[in-house]
Amino acid sequence: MSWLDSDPATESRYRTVAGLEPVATSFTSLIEALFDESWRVRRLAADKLAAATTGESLVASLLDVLSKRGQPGARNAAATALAHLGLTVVKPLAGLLQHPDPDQRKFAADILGELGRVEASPALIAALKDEDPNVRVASAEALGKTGGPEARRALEVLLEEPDPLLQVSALEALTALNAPPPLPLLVPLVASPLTRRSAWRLIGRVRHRSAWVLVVQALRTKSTRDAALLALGGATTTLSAEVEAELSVALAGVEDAVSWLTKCLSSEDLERRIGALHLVRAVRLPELAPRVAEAAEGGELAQLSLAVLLSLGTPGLVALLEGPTPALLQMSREGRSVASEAIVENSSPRFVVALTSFLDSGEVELAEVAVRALGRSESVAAIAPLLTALADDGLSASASRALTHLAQTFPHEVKQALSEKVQQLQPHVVRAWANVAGTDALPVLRRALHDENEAVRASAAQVAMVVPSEAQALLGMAVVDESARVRRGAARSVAGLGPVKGRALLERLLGDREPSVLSLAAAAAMECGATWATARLVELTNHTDSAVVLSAVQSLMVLGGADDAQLARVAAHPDGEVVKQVLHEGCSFPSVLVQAVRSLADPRWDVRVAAAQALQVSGNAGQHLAALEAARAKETDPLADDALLAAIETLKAR
Amino acid sequence: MAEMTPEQLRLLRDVFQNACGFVLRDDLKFIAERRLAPRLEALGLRDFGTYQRYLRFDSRGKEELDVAIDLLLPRETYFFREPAQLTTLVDEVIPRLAQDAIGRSLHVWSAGCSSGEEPYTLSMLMGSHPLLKDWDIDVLGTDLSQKALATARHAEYGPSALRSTTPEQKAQFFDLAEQGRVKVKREFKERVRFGWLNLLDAEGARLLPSMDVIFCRNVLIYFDTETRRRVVQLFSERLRDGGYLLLGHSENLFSLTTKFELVQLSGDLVYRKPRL
Repeated sequence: MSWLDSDPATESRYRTVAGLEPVATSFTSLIEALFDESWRVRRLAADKLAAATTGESLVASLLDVLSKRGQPGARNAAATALAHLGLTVVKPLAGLLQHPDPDQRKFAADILGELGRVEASPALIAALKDEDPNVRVASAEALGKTGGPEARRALEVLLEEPDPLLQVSALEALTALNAPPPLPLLVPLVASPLTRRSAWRLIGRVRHRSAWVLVVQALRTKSTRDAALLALGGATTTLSAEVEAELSVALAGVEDAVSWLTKCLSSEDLERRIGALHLVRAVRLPELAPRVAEAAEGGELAQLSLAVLLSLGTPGLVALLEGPTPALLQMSREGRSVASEAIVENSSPRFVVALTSFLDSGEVELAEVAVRALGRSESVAAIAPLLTALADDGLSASASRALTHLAQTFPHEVKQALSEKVQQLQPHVVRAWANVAGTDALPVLRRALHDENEAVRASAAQVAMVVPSEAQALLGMAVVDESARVRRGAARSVAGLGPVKGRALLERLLGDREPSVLSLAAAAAMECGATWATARLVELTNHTDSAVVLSAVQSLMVLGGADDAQLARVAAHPDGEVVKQVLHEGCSFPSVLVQAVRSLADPRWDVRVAAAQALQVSGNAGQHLAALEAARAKETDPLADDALLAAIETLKAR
Repeated sequence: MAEMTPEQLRLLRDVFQNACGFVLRDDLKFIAERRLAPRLEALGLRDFGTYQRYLRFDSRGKEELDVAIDLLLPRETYFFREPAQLTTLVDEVIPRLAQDAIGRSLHVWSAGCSSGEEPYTLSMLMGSHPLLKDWDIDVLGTDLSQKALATARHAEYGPSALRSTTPEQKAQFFDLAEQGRVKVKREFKERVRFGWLNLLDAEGARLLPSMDVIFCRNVLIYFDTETRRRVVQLFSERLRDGGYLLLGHSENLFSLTTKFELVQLSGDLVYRKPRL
């Protein structure tokens, strides 16, 4: 059942549009659909037109729709389509900026902004002198998206205009371009309440000491402190030690600094929170650690929050972990997640008791963090709680890794502790034991490979290489196991035997009937350099399972067993991931380059990116530049556009 | 730690979006890197491109996809969250439901219930409401995360879940457990059921009864527009005529559907499925 079942007429029109291809013969129908009463139909038609190969008549038709004042839905849909048609619409839209109707001119500026092409900047700069204030403001905003040195200069000139709306638009556009103007242009704008916020934001982006002097001065005064914080909010990277020292001095004289910062860290305003985080880092206030972690709410500031938390060192972690009810237990999930990262990263023996208490806290996520942190605590006292965690199904995998980590510092103690546990075979215990005991693990591994639990057998197979002298025999048992899981375990480790010693086992695995085993076996052939396996790998490129083909192709490329004809065949594989693999690894082959040119028109953005990258590496200007430029003119995906541009520039320079 | 390229981020976004509609935004790249890095380490994978392939092609990929989504999907929830909306429920929505109901039973669905705080809150508010005394109240909590549902069924919580709970509410609705934790009282626990449901699974949702109220707060914000439409359509199908849909305070149905009417109550705006 579809969500429009209650309206069959609309559904029928939607289906009709859905059936249309974005080609010239459908343009009339698609343009008509832009006037449909259903926004969903209009949206679909706009999407189809946006994917069209542009021609003058299509652009003209869409511009004509823009002129229909009584049809806001159709106009918006036409604008959406135009904004996706690439470079070819810049000229016609620049022409529209001369239209007698100011509404049309504003629309043109908005669409050029959405287009975001630097080629549109000259026309928009000219439109800054438009008689209509709305057109001027729209053009200034659009320049913030199109950019270029001329745009920046024109926006700087606007800062001296008397109209505050235009000044704000110019300030915001310069912020969007991360292009702060000279300081003397900004300082007067701090005085006006209308331009203050935007001006401070840009001052924070001026990479000069004189700008920081202004910020520091403003932070000292209560009336200007909040606005100045926005200057710090614009600083996207960590501040220099020198600036932090000055900020610290500025805040030292502020009586209510802690309560003010606490408030700012909880602010809904993201820039205010960023500014406060920078200040906490500068002033080093560990008691604010819980608030710093909570400032990551929403996720955008997680990186900065974590950096600030780490800068607060052990005292910051104490504020999170210790006390009758540790702050960590009372925090939101997002805050807790950031705090956890800091705890794991800066774990130390001091926190073993607190971390151990989290294992019994009943909170699964906290217990997981505690295990990770205990593994990095470099404390022998962490072994006992980790052994307890090893018995917990939900924590055993992490505990196994943590014990292995801890064994780097306390090999003997961890081994002794595990030796009792391993009497009862459990998958993660077997793994940890093998990693810690090395060759001494042999008796346990032998026993494990005969265990009735397939997970235990698979674990043993996977770690068999810890006993190199016996690995062949151990894996011999695993490759004939009835469970695919165990055979996968063997395939994951068989490469360690090398191409000669492991040949018999690998040959058997390469003939397995289970695709997941075949895929791993093909990867193992690559890993151990089994050139004798190329014929079988070529066969596997015809397998019905994409994972097997992918693995086989990758191995063939590395082992040097692929030829041009084989690659040409595989490069036409229906699975995009396989095509990308061939384009990535086989771009030195002529047939792959031919496929790369074809793939520039592939409907999948990631395949187009891979094709552009292949041509960037192995193409040449004479043969491939035109194809790349033609593809870029139609490209609407930003990542693919970046890849095409990089390829074009490389070929031009070559 | 491995860094996620823009291309890898986008490929992972496609994987998650197809699986459950969750949109991994560009500005969550750092969070994704940090939370998935331990998975790369655990699986012995070198980068996020390989991880994306693992999710798609490895025999354990589907299992790992659940783990990844669980790590990335924000699950912020606590008891008595957004109290103004809950007051509206108690003072205005419940009286209307009590008046309109056929028989003395109510079905409530907490869609995307995470670790269970919301359905239990609803059970507490409805179970203690004077107008609903001796009514048969059925609260269903569904979520995508098996881990979250395990916590929900256990019904035991720490201080973080109680940060919006008053001492009176704590005394009325919870029993004390060990280490400063609390357990939902049996009478409020037993009318809550849980189910594992992807909100994109329309077939699965059709197995649910017709609902009087659906709560879906702060879930739609993580979906793309098309997924939101599908989910809202599913709500429309599951809600009885005249039933209510309550979203998070920053969420609305603007440009998603016209199948609900906006009702202005004195405490809040809520959506209602019109009567035919």
